[in-house]
Amino acid sequence: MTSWAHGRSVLVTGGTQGIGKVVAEQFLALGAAVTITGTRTRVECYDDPPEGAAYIQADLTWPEARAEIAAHIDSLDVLVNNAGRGSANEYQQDEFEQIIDTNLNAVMDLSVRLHPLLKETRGSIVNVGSLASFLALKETPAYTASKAGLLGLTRALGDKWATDGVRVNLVAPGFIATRMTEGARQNPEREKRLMKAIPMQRWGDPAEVASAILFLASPAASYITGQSLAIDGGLMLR
Amino acid sequence: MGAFAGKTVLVTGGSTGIGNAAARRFLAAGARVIVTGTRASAADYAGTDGDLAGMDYHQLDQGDLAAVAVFDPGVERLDALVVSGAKVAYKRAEFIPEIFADVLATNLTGPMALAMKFRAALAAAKGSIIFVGSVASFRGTIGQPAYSASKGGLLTLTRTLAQALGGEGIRVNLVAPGLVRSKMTAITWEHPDRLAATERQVPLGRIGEPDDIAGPIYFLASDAARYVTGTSLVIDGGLSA
Repeated sequence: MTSWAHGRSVLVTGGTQGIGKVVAEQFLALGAAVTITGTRTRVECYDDPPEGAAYIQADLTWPEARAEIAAHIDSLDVLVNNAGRGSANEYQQDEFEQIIDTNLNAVMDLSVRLHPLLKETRGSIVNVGSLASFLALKETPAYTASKAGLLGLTRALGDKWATDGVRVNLVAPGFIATRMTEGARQNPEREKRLMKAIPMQRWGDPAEVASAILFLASPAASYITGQSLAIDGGLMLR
Repeated sequence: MGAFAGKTVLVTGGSTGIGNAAARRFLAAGARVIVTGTRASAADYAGTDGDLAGMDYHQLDQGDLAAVAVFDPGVERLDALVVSGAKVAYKRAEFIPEIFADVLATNLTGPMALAMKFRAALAAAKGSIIFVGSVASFRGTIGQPAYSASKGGLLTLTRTLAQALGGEGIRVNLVAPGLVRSKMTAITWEHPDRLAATERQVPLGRIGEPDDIAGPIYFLASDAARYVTGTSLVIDGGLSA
């Protein structure tokens, strides 16, 4: 039996590591043609990149890089806007603005640039938000603002492009075992505190976020648009 | 072989509409599927949109606590409990307190009773509960105070049970369909003007079909959603976006 994703074209920004990498791998396993982006010069610069994906070097903070990505893609069924970052200096204005550029402005720009291709295939977009789309993370105001902004953008684009058959949704991962959360996982005190806040009492696995992204991109979700799905082991309930 | 081979799924209100579409989805994935409905036997659903072939059918009024208490479909391990059974009253009947209470019994108290009845069986299988809410879980519906209150209640029940049962390995989630073509909503979609007016408001330009909801229910019950609990998934073609 061939899967729904067989032969489909998929672009995963930041698909070299963490959640994005597993998304790329799950699409590849279904027979999709997957392109990933990363900031490093060559894909070999990453420890363990997904095998079989095409690679484009692009730092999405910059409009030129976004234009470059769009120029490389000639057919598209699924766009996963996964690339994102936070920093320790988000109360510095230039850093704040750069993070908004990477996490929010780049998503808008890339989505608009690729919308004509998605319209042709009646494809869909899945944005990777965060629990910060809904809650305050006080040490990272730019990350929080960008991810909350992404939620609003998901709703606006979902409404705007519905008539083109292009669906737009968001996943909101909680605490997932990736490089971004390595610090907390190596600090037993902090980890204990965090686990107390999660009804399921464990870290999420990147594969558990990836599977939700694949669902939202699939025909099983064909009547879902403008929505967000939390993958957080129940964290936001408390 | 399907992803639900060897697994057991119970769908209340699984005889027609969304519940039946979900039941068929699980059946196709290899599950043993048990469905309930209000009619005496499966044969009584001939001529409806329900297809009960290959499923175990049980009559159950889920709004009757005594009936829920004696309901025995013979399961020791339950991988998914889908509570799809519900009722609604039209022509302002839900403003009558007795009818309000009756709708609440079926749409909210019954679902809680079912969750408690099957708690041990769900824990044994590390299974999950999927409540079928509605877009009315989030907003008022002017003519249906009982339906809205019950579906709003299901939303917070979902969140509360997710907290309470997470430690037992039971996940609890809710799907919130918009207008879906089913027996319960015929009053809207069988009327061409009302249907056209509704479809104009939906960004995806059409009302939902039961199969549009079955896919998301299946996803939430599946291993793909194993870190998802306490959440609600709106399936409304963008109506509330």
